Amino acid sequence: MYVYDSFDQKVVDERVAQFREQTERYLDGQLADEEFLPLRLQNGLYIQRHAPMLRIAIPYGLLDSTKLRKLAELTETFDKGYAHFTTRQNIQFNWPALEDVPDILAGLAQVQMHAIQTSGNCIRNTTTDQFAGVLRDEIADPRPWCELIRQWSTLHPEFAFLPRKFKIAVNGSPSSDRAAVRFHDIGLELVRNDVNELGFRVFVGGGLGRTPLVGQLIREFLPTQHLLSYLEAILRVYNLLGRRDNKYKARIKILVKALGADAFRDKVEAEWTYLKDGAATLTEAEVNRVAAHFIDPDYASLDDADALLAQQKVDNPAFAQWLSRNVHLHKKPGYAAVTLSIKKLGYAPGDCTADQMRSVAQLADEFSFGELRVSHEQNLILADVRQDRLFDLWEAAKLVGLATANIGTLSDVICCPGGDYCALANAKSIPIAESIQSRFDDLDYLYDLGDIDLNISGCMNACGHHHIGNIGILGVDKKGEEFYQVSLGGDSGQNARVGKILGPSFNADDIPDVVDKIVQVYVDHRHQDELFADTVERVGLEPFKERVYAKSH
Amino acid sequence: MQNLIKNGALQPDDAWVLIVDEATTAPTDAPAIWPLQQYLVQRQSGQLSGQPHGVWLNEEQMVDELAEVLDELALVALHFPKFADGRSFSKARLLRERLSFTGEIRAVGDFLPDQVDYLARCGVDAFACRNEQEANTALSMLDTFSVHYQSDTHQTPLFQQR
Repeated sequence: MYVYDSFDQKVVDERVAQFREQTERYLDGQLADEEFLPLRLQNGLYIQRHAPMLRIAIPYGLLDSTKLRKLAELTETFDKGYAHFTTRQNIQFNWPALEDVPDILAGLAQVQMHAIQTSGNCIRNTTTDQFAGVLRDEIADPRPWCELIRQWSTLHPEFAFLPRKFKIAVNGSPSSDRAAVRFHDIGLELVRNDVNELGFRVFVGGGLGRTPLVGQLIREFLPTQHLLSYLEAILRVYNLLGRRDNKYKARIKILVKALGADAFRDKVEAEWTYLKDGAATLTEAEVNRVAAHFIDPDYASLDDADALLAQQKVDNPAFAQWLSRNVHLHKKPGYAAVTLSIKKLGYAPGDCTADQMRSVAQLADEFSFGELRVSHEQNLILADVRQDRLFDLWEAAKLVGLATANIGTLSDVICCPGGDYCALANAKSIPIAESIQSRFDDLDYLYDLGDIDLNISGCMNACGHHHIGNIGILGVDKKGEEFYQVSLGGDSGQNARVGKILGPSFNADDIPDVVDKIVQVYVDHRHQDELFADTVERVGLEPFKERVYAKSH
Repeated sequence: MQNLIKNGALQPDDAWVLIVDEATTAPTDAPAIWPLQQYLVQRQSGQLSGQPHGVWLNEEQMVDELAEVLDELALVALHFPKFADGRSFSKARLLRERLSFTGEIRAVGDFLPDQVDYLARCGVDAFACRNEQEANTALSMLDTFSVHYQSDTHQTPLFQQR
């Protein structure tokens, strides 16, 4: 975990003081609503349906128990005792009072947290794989690069008033992409070249929302020392040339599409010739300084606990299920990474109470060096658990309702807060998630279905990433009534694809049946061990359309 | 021009006259900040006075359009049609760092006091604020942050100082 030095601490402290002063000027009437708007947004503060909403950064998804306990305390002091983990490694408070926000930010600064640039037309929180640093196949740990990007992008003087929001994600593993880098404004993939030097593949112009697009590869290999100067070149081209006349056409993906990837690349490379080797060029000393914060914890020298786990599995089928769904391979023998599901039936996906936060903090202290991660699927991860303690962890997690063995299944729904909270939403999303979760509450059936990403958004801003769900559900408004459009075949990984719309939209009440029929078609058509996404790709939409839209007699 | 901050201080007696458009009368005895196109026309026809010259860019005009005349200019103003338009931040850096412009860069139009420290870091050294209150606020916000991560037109990145 990166630990602030006195410089980092000063930045967040001075930011709190600045925002306190800005809030006072606003409450005094010195700042108009529209003037305060970009200032508050750059501190994560929205005005929402019920009250302000405060979005707090969890940089590249990394937390520790101290931070989590502080979040728990802040939700109790200033909110209703719970908060919401989002799909972009942030956490949101839904009911803070505007007047209290400076104090909340001050509380966050005490534990080296902030809400800087979690919203607004600026560079947002950089995201990565929740298993960063513990994977066997990783080319390099993406987290130091994320932290370097965090610092570079924090209060960047040139890029605080971009045409639109700007999101960067980094992935370090060649065999999987859990950070959905191809659906970001800039996606970076760590690679090695033929002489084994570390660098990045650079994708630009991916994104969801109204115009979902897969990012285009504009550079096959960027040496790591040039990371920041190259980002600067991309951002400068975008800042100067991105559309500002229409907010729906202002994202960099529209610029890349309009120019074409080649012409866009030429502009970036031309800009970069001036910036390359300039002040932003990273030094080895700085890279090493930051990387030193992400060295392995004090792992014990262990062997894999295969025999023990095998016995425990035989004795406890439920534990076996949890192992197979929620426990992930680890680079270090004798260790495992564990996903604690916060997708229990009856709880809105991503919501977490102060008590649950304290429980997770306790589990992290007891089982995983006091650290944890947040995934874009809205779950929490203990990344460094001894295999011989998995059973104890499972029992402890069960007691606090965090051991639902559904990771990767249909009931591990990604879902935005939707119309229950969000002023932008056209439709509710949480009740849809709940109705599907309660229809598919038989774990054995879910295991038989295997991995299926089900993503739900309450509007086309796509916070629930519906486009890239294997099954995507989008809330739409038709003359004041809420309907739901279903898409199939989306994929957030290396095989990045936007899902295709199945057909006319449905009533909320019909959605569990619709999902059920979709699943039946899959079961009818799948080959042995074929994943849902692969079946959809092979058979196409027709069989699904036929079943779902069949006239009932 | 009133409510002007220049080189970190309020500047009560500024001689520059901003020529908003062709309807604005050009002064004969004071330096003027011309719209770019008008400046080019005046220059072409040899009608420029012996006073120092300035040019302002609207949001669409890029700094490379100035390349040919930049040596003649004592001042370049960057106009904010609305404060959310951030193009001038990049333009100021390009003027300083790419085109090595050493004259005055002045922010004019609809910018916020809360933006002046970022603008100053990008190379803007004069701010024509909308009113006296904003000028005072802007002045107090020029050094909101004592630490900056990134390089700017004044300093190298923090990582080189760590």
